[in-house]
Amino acid sequence: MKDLTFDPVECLPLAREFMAQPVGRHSPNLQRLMRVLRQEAPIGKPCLLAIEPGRKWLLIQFTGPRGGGAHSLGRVYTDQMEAERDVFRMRWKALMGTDLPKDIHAP
Amino acid sequence: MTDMPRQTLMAYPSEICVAPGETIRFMVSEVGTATRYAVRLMRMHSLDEDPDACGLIEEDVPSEFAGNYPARFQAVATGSCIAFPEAAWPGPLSDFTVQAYIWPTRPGAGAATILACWNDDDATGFRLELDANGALALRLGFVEGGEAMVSTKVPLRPREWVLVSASYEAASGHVTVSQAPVRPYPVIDTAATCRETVRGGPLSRGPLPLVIAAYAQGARSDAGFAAHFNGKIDRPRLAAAALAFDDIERLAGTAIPHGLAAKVIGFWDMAQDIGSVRVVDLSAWHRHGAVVNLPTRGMTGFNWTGEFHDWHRAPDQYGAIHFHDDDLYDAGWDADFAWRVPDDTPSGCYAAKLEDGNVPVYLIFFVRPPRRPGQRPPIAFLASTAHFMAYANYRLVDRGPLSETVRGRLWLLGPEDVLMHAHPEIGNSCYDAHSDGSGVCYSSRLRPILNLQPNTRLASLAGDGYVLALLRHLGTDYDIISDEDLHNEGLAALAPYRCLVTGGHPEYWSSEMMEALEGFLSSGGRLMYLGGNGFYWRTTYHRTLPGVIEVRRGEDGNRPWAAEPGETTLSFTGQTGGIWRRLGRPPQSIVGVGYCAEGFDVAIPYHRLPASHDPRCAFIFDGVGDQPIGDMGAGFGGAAGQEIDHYDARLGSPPHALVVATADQFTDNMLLVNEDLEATHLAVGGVECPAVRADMVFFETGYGGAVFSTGSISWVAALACQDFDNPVARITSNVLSRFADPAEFPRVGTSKMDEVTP
Repeated sequence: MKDLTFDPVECLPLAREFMAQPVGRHSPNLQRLMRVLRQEAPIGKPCLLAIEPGRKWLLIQFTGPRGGGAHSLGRVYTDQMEAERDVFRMRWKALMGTDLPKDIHAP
Repeated sequence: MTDMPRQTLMAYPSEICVAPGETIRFMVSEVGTATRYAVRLMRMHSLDEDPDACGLIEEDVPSEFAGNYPARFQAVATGSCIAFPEAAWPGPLSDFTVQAYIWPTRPGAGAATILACWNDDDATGFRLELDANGALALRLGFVEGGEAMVSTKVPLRPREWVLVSASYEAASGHVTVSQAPVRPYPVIDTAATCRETVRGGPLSRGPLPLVIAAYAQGARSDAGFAAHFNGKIDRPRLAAAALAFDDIERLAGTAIPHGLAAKVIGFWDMAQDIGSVRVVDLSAWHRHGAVVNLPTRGMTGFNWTGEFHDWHRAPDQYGAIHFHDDDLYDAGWDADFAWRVPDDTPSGCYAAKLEDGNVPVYLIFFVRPPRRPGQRPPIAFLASTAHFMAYANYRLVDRGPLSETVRGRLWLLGPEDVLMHAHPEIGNSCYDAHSDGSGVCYSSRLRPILNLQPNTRLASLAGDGYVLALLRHLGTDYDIISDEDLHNEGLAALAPYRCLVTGGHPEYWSSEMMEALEGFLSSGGRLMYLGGNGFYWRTTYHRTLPGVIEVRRGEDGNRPWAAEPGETTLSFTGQTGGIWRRLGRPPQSIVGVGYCAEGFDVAIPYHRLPASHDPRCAFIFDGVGDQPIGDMGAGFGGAAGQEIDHYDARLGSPPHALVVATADQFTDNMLLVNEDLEATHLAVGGVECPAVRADMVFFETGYGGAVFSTGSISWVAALACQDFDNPVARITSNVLSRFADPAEFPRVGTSKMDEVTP
């Protein structure tokens, strides 16, 4: 097995970097962290469903393999970057076992 | 809680591109709750609602079919097999032997029929199958009533060739079922033979429907099929006698053995007529069959040595057909309404818009110019219909765990993705895997295609709509022709025009299309290639079946799957499949640039290069300063993004081509394509890899025409920003204007611009 553990304290600067710019150029260490965080299996992965094309998105997840359905996670966004930050917080907690500190947020 | 938007209708048109005077039919089915729907005919002037662009521009067009319709359910029957037009067992069935080489891909995933002579109405006949555990089994249904099942009880392993056989002797009731692996292993032994005695007696009083890779759900082969086989079948044989195993081995050869001819009633050579739907029987009965739902042909057989990779060279090694339970060619729905295209209908993008209170459904099609010769406008837009078909029902949800990592942002989906996931029966794209994990080689448009609609991903139809929007904004008269037109008619489809304009992703090209384009450019035509990853995969159309393409993901290229060894030759034509770069026609040699990288997190602007100040290309930059070109756009925020191309003289970019602008400040999510890697390394990201860049190129063809290439899928999605008042739109408009002008560009032999009549 590959060792893909991360130290939550050492990774806090990476979280700040992500919150400042969720999509775009990232440092090599943030790239590595994101490769792990984004590698969730397709079934159950949070993803954005356009409910008003180009304007509004709903966070959903698929509930089963081909032939299955999807359900809403109940969060609506008018800014995709806010969705990126929300999902980052969810994934951070799942990977690190702790909540992302509240003082790490969008600028 | 906010509800998910739902689409409750699915539909498809009979044609993707239709001429005035012709009729197009529309097939509709409800999926869920729709009971009625309203239909209008729309002309589509754009195909995306992004608020930062021009929005969705649709125009009501009067039509006799507009109105309200009841919604009904129409089923889709997936799964491929070989059927026979007439009941195939010649008479009362008693003694028999059935055999084949098989390469099962999903043993144990449910009963899977190898060959059946079975009347499902009265449960008589036999079915040779893999049982629910994946072991070979013979099911018998007796005329006197009752069934028997004889199984080896030894499950087969996936993706291994096995000679399977079964024989039955009616008088004694003796049954022998045998599975003999072509390559046996020590310790793991799947060889097995089971001999049992059952009640005996005849299995039919008259003819039975014969099916290979499924069984007929009735007394005839047209009653539908069940228990489809997943995997390859090679050399199926049928004899009207209970044969010993040495005769079975002899019968597995390429010719009917001496002494067995009178007993053989089916001896199929599936390497013949690979490009057709026909399956040839070499027995005296000439019991030729036809494939249903296009299983994959031209596949390596049990005896493939690796010596030859082309089924022309060693046909006896390509006798296998790969069947899938999710193959689909033609959904075969009944039409709900139709439209005879009036003679004065302008060429353009149209849709039958279905509304039932949920997400509207647009049945996109194109009206081409009349087929009769006549005066046409200078500009033709090429609708990338081969690309649309290759991506038809692209199942993003089935991508692996790395998919989001590759994209560098959350998945962005539409209602069509949710509906597509829930309905596997509408078939796959050439980007998907079949249920058994094998790649999808064929894609048809005769089925609902949920992602050929407005607001679907910008690398496809939605992005191309911005080109139509620009043409409308400029008041430019244009025709639309499709890839299918170009393939079928060749240069004649292009000859009326001075300038051909592509969309953002003209990726799939047949040889016929390539030759037509090269002929067009060699006769003075001008080309505006407004995309990226163009001219990439060789594709082809079936020679007799309408509306279906084939792609083989060959030995190189950025691929969603890779063809198995020896299976890169196109079955429809016998041509070598793969990317044009590896087939000797790199895109660089045609349009000056070729695919080099892809990334879907952000798009960036171009900046001008010194060559942009060359007088040869002054017209391109008229009214454009030195500002960034395309620092906004609906395609991830810029003009250079998603999939990009660069200039490469080694691959045939013309040496006189001007690289007038480039975009190279990408993120590390913009990754160099693997065909540019001799050996793997880490320096493939857009931050440091110098080859990761989108080059904008202009060159004269030498025949009086010219080529302008942008080298980015996102280019077209940047056209409509700020009401078309931006450098991307300005450059595109400048080139359109010049390319529509009859004044020739320098020909071969002229060296100075001032020698050319402006």
